[in-house]
This record gives sequence, structure tokens and C-alpha cells, in this order.
Amino acid sequence: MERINDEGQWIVLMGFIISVALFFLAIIVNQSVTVGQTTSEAVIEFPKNEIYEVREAVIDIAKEGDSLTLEQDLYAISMDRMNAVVYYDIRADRYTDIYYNYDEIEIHFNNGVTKYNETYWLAKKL
Amino acid sequence: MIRKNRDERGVSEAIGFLIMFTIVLTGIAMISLVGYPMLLETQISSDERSMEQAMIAIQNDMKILTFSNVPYRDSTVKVSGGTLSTIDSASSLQQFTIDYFDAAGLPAPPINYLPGEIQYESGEGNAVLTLMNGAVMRRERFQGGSVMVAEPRWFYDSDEKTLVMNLIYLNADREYYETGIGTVQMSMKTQPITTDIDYGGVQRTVTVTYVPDPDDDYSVAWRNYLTGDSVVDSGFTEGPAGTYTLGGVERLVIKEYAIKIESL
Repeated sequence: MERINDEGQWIVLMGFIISVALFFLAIIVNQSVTVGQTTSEAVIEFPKNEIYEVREAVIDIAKEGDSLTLEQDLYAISMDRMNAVVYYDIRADRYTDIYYNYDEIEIHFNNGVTKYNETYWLAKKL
Repeated sequence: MIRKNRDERGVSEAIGFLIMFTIVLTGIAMISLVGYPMLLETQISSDERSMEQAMIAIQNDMKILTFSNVPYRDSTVKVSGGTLSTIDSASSLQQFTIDYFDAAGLPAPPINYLPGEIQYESGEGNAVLTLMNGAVMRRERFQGGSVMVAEPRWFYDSDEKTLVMNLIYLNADREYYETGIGTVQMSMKTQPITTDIDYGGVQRTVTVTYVPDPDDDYSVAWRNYLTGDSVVDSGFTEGPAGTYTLGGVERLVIKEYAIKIESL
């Protein structure tokens, strides 16, 4: 009986290992599509600029003086442009220290995805 | 390895070959009988899944058109394993009716809302995906149920007791069909019609009625959406024949957007 040359068996073994590894990689690649979709959606939908604008407007109103017309306009414009429910409440001179008077401003913003509440203390020099 | 003096009696090359040949043939037969149909099945479900993603992408485009005030939007979609088609709002057989009160507290003329649809029907499988009223829904043909894959943006602000409903009409000049790679072009060139009623602290009820197309029924999806806690924590109250009522509304906002599908 002549010698059997079995030195090349590792090639077959490697083939098996690689094919199994590829199989698992394919499963992982398949999963990643869904993950990317939901994450990017969440990032796009955060209404950063809208919240900035509403804050700015409300703080301006607090500085210049509130009125029913301003309030109604802000609510209507927010709904029209940003599709958001906005509410604010300004309570003047809630707190005083030696240098400043503080107005308490409550801001509420909700566009169905993001709900934002803030209490802002507006300092006014005595 | 060195083998010496091994007993080789009873070893037949012919039988060995026969056994190997049988193993190979059995392998081929198993693959073509079991493996290939399984592969096809996987193909169908992966087609349906990628279409689900494509529909959500179109839904996101609609959100950008409607909520971000962008007039035009197009996106390229790959429609695989089925057909994408449009159903114009005017010829829609799905109907929503919204009953509400006006500012004086009298019943306002109800809004009869025909949403229009973008629909994908799987050719090989049974899945039907529909984009209607800003929601993506899925049902299986010949079966009663349906699920909502992506929800519309209706919401109730519990602090201000404000209910916001966005109604999206889909208009198409003709019926468009698409298979393969195509571009969905949409535009919104008209202002949304906004109904914004403040009841001045009085709590009113709003009733939504969904009358489905009997051949294209998504009532289960809408029931689960409205009675679940997506819009309001405790949900709408379900009444007879597809009516859903929500009480405690102090301000009601209904925005009606008209999106035109320019081509598909």
C-alpha cells in the first residue's frame, strides 16, 4: 500500500470555516438595514430650530410685554408653520435678589414626536 | 501515515463509487426539492421587507412635504417582486368621517375625507402594503387582519388638551403603475386647509369614523392605532361600526394637506 498524502486537508477545513463565517456575516448585514433607517429618522425629526424659534419669541414677548393678540398669534403661527402645539405662561417678578428681578417663563412645545417643557428665569436689572 | 499489512478483503471500488454517487445525487435532489423553494420564500419575504422600508421612505418624504413646507420631493424606490400603484383621492373607496363641534358648541358639518393611496401588491407573495393618510399599513390577501407599520402623526397634547389631526389627500391625474426602479415625484403646491377651533375651556368630543373598502380593509390597523395609546394615553373609545370618540378636547386642529403625485 502506498502512502496517502493528506497534507492538503487544511484547505478543505478552511473552506468550511470561511463558509460558516460568511453565513453569519450575511445575517449581520441583513440586520443593519433596519437599524440605520430608524436611527436616522429619529435624528432628522428632532425639532431643534423650531424650539429655538419658539423660545426666542416667548422671551422677546416677556421682555416687551405680553398681550392676548401676541399669544393667539404665536399659537396659530406655531401650528401653521411647525405643526406644533405651543403654550407659554409669563409670571412677572416671581423672585428678587439684590440686583435683579426675575420673571418665570413656562414654555411648552409638542409636535407629536417631541415634547419639550422649559421653565426659564428672565433676569431684569433693578 | 504508513499502513502495513492492512486487510483489504471485501473492499470494492465499484460499491464505493456507487455510494459516493448516491450521496451526491441525494444532495442535489434535496437542494432542488427543499432548498430552492426555501430560497424563493426568503426572496419573497425579503422583497416585502425592503418594500416596507421603501414605503416608510415615501412616508418620510410626505412628512417633509407637509410638515416642513417643502413644495417638491422625489425619491427613487426599487419595487421588487410586485407592483406599486396609486389610487386617486377622488376614486378612493376608503373613507374617514370626522364629526366635531364648532366654536359655538354646535355640531359642525362633518369632514368627509377620502385619503387616496399608494399601494404595493406583492406578485409572488400575499402582502399588500398601503400608504394612506400618512400611515403605512400591511395586510395579507385573503385574510382579515391588518397592521400599521408606521403611524401617522396625529396627536393629543394632554397639557393643552389639544387634538391635532393631519389629513393627507393623495391626488394623481391618472393611475400610475411601477415595477423595477422608479422615482416617486410628489408636490404640494397648495396651502393646507386648517381648521383650528378653541372651545374656550369647554371640553368637547371628536368622533372619527372609518369606513373601509371591503376589498382592502384596514379597520383592524386603525382600531389598534386609535384605541391604543399612540394618540392619547388611554386611546379613543370605540363605538359601533368603526366609530372612535375622544372626549376632553379643548382645542381641535385639523389640517388638510393635498399632495399631488406627479409621476411614479
